[in-house]
Amino acid sequence: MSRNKWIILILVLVLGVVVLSACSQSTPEVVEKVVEKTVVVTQVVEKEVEKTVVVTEVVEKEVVVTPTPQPEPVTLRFYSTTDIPTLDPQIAEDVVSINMIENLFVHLTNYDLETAEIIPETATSWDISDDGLTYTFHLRTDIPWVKHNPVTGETVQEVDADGNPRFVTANDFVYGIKRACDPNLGSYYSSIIAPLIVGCEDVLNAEDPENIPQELIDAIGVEAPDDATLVIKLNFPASYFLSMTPMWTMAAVPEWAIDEYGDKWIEAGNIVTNGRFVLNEWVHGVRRTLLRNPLMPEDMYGTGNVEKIVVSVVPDVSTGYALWLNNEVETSGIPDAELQAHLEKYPDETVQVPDLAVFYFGFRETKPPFDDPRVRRAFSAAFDREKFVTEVRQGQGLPMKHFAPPGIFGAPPIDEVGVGFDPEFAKQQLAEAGYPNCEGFPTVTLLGYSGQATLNWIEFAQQQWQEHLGCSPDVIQIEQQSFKELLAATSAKTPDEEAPHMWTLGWGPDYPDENNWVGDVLWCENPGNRMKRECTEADDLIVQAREETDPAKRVEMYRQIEELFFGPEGEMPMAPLYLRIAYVAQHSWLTAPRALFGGEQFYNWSIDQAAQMAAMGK
Amino acid sequence: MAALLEVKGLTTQFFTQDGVVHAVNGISYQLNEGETIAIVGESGSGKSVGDMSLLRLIPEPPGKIIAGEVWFQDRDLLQISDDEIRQIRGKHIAMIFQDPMTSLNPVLTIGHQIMEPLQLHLGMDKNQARKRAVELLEMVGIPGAATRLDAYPHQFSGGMRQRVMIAMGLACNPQVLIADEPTTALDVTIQAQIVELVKSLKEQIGMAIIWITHDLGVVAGLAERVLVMYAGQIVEEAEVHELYKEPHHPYTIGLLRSVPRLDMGKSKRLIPIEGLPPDLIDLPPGCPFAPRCEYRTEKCLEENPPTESISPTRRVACWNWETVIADIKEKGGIYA
Amino acid sequence: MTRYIIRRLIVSIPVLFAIVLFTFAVVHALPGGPFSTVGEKAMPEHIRLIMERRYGLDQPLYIQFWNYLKMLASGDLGPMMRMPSQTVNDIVYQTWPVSIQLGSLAVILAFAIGIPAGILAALKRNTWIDYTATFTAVLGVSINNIVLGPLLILIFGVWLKVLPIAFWGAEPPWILGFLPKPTWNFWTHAVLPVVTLGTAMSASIARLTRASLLEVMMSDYIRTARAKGLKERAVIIRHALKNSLIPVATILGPLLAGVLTGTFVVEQIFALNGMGRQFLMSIEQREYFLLSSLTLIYSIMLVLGNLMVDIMYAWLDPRIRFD
Ligand SMILES: Nc1ncnc2c1ncn2[C@@H]1O[C@H](COP(=O)(O)OP(=O)(O)OP(=O)(O)O)[C@@H](O)[C@H]1O
Ligand code: SF4
Ligand SMILES: [Mg+2]
Repeated sequence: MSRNKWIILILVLVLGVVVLSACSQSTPEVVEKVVEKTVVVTQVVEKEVEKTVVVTEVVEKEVVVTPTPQPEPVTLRFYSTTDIPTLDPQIAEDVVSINMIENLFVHLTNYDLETAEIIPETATSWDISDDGLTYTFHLRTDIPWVKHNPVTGETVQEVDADGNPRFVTANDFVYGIKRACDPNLGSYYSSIIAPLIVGCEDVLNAEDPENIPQELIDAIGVEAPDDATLVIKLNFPASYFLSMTPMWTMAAVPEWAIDEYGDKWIEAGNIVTNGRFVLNEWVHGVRRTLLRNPLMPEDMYGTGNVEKIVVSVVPDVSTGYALWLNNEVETSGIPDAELQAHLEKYPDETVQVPDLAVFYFGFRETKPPFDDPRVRRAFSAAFDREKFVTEVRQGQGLPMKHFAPPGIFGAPPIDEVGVGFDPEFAKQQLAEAGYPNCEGFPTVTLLGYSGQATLNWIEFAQQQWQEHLGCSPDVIQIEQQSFKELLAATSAKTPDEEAPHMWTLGWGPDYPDENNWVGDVLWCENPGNRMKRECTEADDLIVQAREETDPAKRVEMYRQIEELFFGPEGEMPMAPLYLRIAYVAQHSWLTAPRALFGGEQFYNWSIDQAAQMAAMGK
Repeated sequence: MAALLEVKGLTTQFFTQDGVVHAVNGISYQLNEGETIAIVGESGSGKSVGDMSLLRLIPEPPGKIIAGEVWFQDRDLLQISDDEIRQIRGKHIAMIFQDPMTSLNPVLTIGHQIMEPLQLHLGMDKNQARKRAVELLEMVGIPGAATRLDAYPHQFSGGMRQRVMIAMGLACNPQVLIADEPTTALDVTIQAQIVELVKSLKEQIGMAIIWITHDLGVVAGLAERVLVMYAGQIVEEAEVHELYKEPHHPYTIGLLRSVPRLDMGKSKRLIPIEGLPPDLIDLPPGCPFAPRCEYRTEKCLEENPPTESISPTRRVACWNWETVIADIKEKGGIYA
Repeated sequence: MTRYIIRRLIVSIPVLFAIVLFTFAVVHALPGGPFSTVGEKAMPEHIRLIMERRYGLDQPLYIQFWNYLKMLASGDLGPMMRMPSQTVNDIVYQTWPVSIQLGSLAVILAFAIGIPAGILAALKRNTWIDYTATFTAVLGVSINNIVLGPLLILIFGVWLKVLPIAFWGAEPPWILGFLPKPTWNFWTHAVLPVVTLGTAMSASIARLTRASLLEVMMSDYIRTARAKGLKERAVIIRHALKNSLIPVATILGPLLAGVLTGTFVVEQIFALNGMGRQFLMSIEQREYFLLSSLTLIYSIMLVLGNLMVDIMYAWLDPRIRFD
């Protein structure tokens, strides 16, 4: 009896579940929907200034009978593996932030997606003085400062104290650039622009950062003779300065909003922006949503059709890739473990994205036996980069013989400068250094950062050095540490006894010029001189090239510098290995020209919405 | 006298991994109204299984009542429905168990446990049941009864707990009280108190009692009739004084010898029965007592003696009981 | 009991203090600090020093710790050094409710399934119900979160497409500061993570309940209850159940610790913005204040959880008295 009751109960439960789930699926006629209506209203404000208000009304929970009359906004969905650390252009220093800022703020100039050239954005044109020290930018003045209200969906142009609508002016750039010189922001990129702009470094390095004298700030070489003209003065004729002007660090920011909200000025509802998109939602650690800025001048929209951007936060690429497989995001990285399967299954939905990061082994030049350049040359030349890229990187990269990759101004053609892989040369160099066939070679340390990928890399190196130099793997002690630990261990300040002989690192460009490579990484006077290089002829050339105004001459000088470092007679402070190119999963309905520098320009991305909807089963 | 309860051929077995345990092997007896009988026997002889079978309280599986009838109020308790037997349990036939330490539920209050049968069988509401529970506790001699209703079993001593068990058993004024070694776990003075308590309660209430024990010493002052069990069988039945005076079964004699007696001189030692009871899984074909019996003959090993009625009040299961009596007479008593 | 609880709470203060001190010391001892790197580059020395001074990181450790304690005393869990528009209080407000919701739902599920399943298996011992339940339980105990999560995602998310494969269905602002809005969206998103976290727990509860109930059903007082003429259902519910839950309560302590560590994994698998993820991030990024505060919160939750277990234990078993 009681058993029967149980069975009946279970049956009822099961039936209930089936019925419920059936209900939840089979009611497509009535859907709860959030519908957005765009209504353009022209309002007359007290001061009799015409103000344009565009209302994106969010009508909540309206019951709509299919077929939906309102089209869904064209939506780009992707993910990041962290929350946005900041939306403050002067503070941003990571890809996640910079990608958002690129689309929320206009910048002084822009990178052309195809050529990486500098093209107009806020500045429609510019003049460079003959001595190369004064840059004058001519700005357009029709870009409004706007504020988006996430609750009402309204995007409203900002007005000043007198009720006048605010447009982006040269003064906003002056404020932004001067702000970038403020050491209290703690921004890495301050130190990239500071050496160039007159007076900027004085502020950045001010003795008492808490009380920076006003004279110092006033002395920064940035001026706005009028709203449409921005003048920037340089310390030396750095011809690569122009390549820095699309940077977020030099973007205009709304002084009044920053004054009003302090650190919180970047939160949704507070933030005042001037870009192609507005911040509609920022659920910290979960998601942010951007909507197209309806007040942006027509011609600035870009070539894309994306109207809404939803970026979710996921813990890692594996989760992101699962979302991609499930058609919940348009594009995703591919976890190493899935790469082969992906390439086989989705050859048409794979794109190769270079990020111009070059990876290398650094050598401690003061720590024997690596104080001998022949030893360094031997270790560099004994590494088969081609094989490494194919076998270990599964094809995701290009072998490098010198430091700066193609796409960087001044970088020599990829296969022209540097020894690269040459086992004969390697053997001979090691023998000349007194270690024929690695005999008598002392035990040395190789420090890599943690993770399986790096382990594969350094184990491959061990094999290579055994095969081509005869150094037993026991001679190369490998160790792995977290990134911060590795940076601490290889710092120039770490004494030689504690520092490793060799380490793995990579360098990605801040701006597309050779100076950012040999100048910012290898230059002997860099504070972060991990190799502990002594100054040489190459360093004189680095300083000269920095100030040379003739582009052709600069190209030649950088070729010489790379040769001095990586040629057969080269100093070889590091062994450049490969340029990273990542395979990225990307659905066929997305057209996404990637940015080599700066943030991704989502306003130039397009989506075939019909295909996207079909894949989502809508 | 009309039999209140009549047991016929009750057989209970346990089906275990090691084999079938023949715990109770066709026992028959009857209990008259208001009468007290005692069932004695060594540990493992099937006393508890036998009495629990009456109310079908054998854990099933592994146990199973294989055969028999238990007649009570013109019904065979082994045949009636589950609901009907539950009506009998606690109401008409109550049981109290061996170990008062473990027989009370540790997480329920004493009051709750006593009130349960009152509410269940007598349809009392909470207040009535509570009142009655206090009376019952007073009746079994628990001081401060009203205040102790909300106490938990662990707050009582062993003797007090057995009093609680008795109060619980008597809650519904049952016609039969089965007391399964209610004093075994208690120390001697407490044992005597409990025996006295039961005696006086019987006088007040007048229920019939089946008193199970392995201690013949307790039986004398309490029971009118005694059943002796060995290896799941009743080997002897007699009125108390008859049994003490003239035991017929060699096992009964052994039992009597092992009971300490006040009138026993210092010189007389207790004589335990030698050997061990038989393995109930693998019962030998003959008399189960044969391996330990000094009167054993050929026949004993071949055939199990039936329980014969040898007088209106006596039964015995022994091929050689007459020889036994003669022998004892000749020796001048069982202690000789 | 109240006195016991108060005493336990007072005693736990130095323990919490020691835990926080220890964490504080350990994270500060890790090489590198919050400002030593920028993505994959080193932060310029000069700026690093300024930022470290701003957050008092240049002070001796004991002063930093003292300042942190003062901050805690005023209800401030500290700043987010690398995310200046947020504070640790903000992060806790965003993430703590997610972890708590996940953990509590999993515990509720574990009990709601584990106990009835255990009872059913025990009562229907050696029938197909018992075998099915026992087999499922063995499976459930031995399968790891890390395996079960992706498996469920694959089956219900990718193949059947009936449940979402990632994210939590509720966000701030919370009801009463920590409760989700119980929307359809919330429940559908909760199913897989909660099942992932709750399965192993419910399986061990089921197994323990079964074993313990079987043992209890053999006990003398159950026989007593039956001898009273009680219905089998009353015997089980009133007499057996509470007793059989006592051993179950004893594993609650370790179970709670398991839930805490489990949320780490499950938050990771389902991309939930819970405390676990912030915890891992805070170690990586050397967000000292966040890390110390999260450790403190985890410890407080463990202390309270264990206290709750004790209270429950005392409630189940009158023989136990904490005085
Ligand atoms: N649940 C059970 N499973 C298997 N065998 C059992 C079970 N219960 C009792 N037995 C067996 O039945 C036989 C009789 O046991 P019973 O408890 O009736 O003995 P007893 O005469 O009451 O002994 P005691 O004086 O120790 O109470 C014993 O051999 C015992 O091992
Ligand atoms: S039948 Fe035989 S063995 Fe059994 S008791 Fe009688 S004499 Fe002893
Ligand atoms: Mg017994």
